[in-house]
Amino acid sequence: MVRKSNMKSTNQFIHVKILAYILNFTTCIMNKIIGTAVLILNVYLFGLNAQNTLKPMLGEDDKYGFIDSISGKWVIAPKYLTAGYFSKNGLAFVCKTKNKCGCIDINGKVKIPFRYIYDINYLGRLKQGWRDPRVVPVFNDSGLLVVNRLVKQKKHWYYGYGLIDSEGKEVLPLKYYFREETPNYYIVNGEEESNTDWVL
Amino acid sequence: MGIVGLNGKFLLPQKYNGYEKLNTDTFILRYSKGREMVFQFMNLNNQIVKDGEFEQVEFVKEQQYIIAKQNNSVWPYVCANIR
Repeated sequence: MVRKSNMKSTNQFIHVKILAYILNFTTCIMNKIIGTAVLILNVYLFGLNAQNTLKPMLGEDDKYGFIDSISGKWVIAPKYLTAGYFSKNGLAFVCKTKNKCGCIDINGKVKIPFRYIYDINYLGRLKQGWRDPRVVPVFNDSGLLVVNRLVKQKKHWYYGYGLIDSEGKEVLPLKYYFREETPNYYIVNGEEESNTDWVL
Repeated sequence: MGIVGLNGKFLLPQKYNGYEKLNTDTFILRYSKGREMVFQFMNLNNQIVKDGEFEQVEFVKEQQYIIAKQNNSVWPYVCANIR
């Protein structure tokens, strides 16, 4: 009788233990799932935050880098002649020299090679101060960026402007001159056209 | 000159040689037609917004009116109506 009772309690103990194992296992799995979700969310948020909080800043050597505007620490060391703000796609336009401009990501990694020119005379840049980050181009709402390069046509060289996407692909060929930029459109001239302004 | 949208596509073709903005999406545009220069009122959807081609267009009275000449007739337009 005593033995039967002991066996019964031993069985119950085993059942409880198995249940505890199952619960523990389920909790572990749930924790891992939640942990992974939190991690993904953090990376996502960190990415967005970094893009929003990184600001171009002039360093001691008269070069631009990027600081975290919350911590005030340098995130991308100051080594650029000029630098623009990060766009929604996480890229910023920076120049090593006036003839070597491209795009970097929030880690400072080059995403679009330094093959573009920074034209200091472009649309009032000189007036505001051509190195001012506010006059450095950013990607527009369609994810395109105005860039220019020296191009040759019929034996003469000129600055050809166009639009590239975040992969560096030319969406509008670099052969125009941008007369005006607005939040909704660009007024462009062809290379062969004169730049004479016209008003009624 | 032409007008390019943010997506890199031409909203208005590259056939004009002068422009005047009337508002954010309406323009007076000038282009060559044979030996003559003509004017058109266009919007950013590449639509003519006023009566075809004009031989001459002028702002008057502090840009409140436009005098537009078409087939030897002169038409005064109130800018606000075009805008």
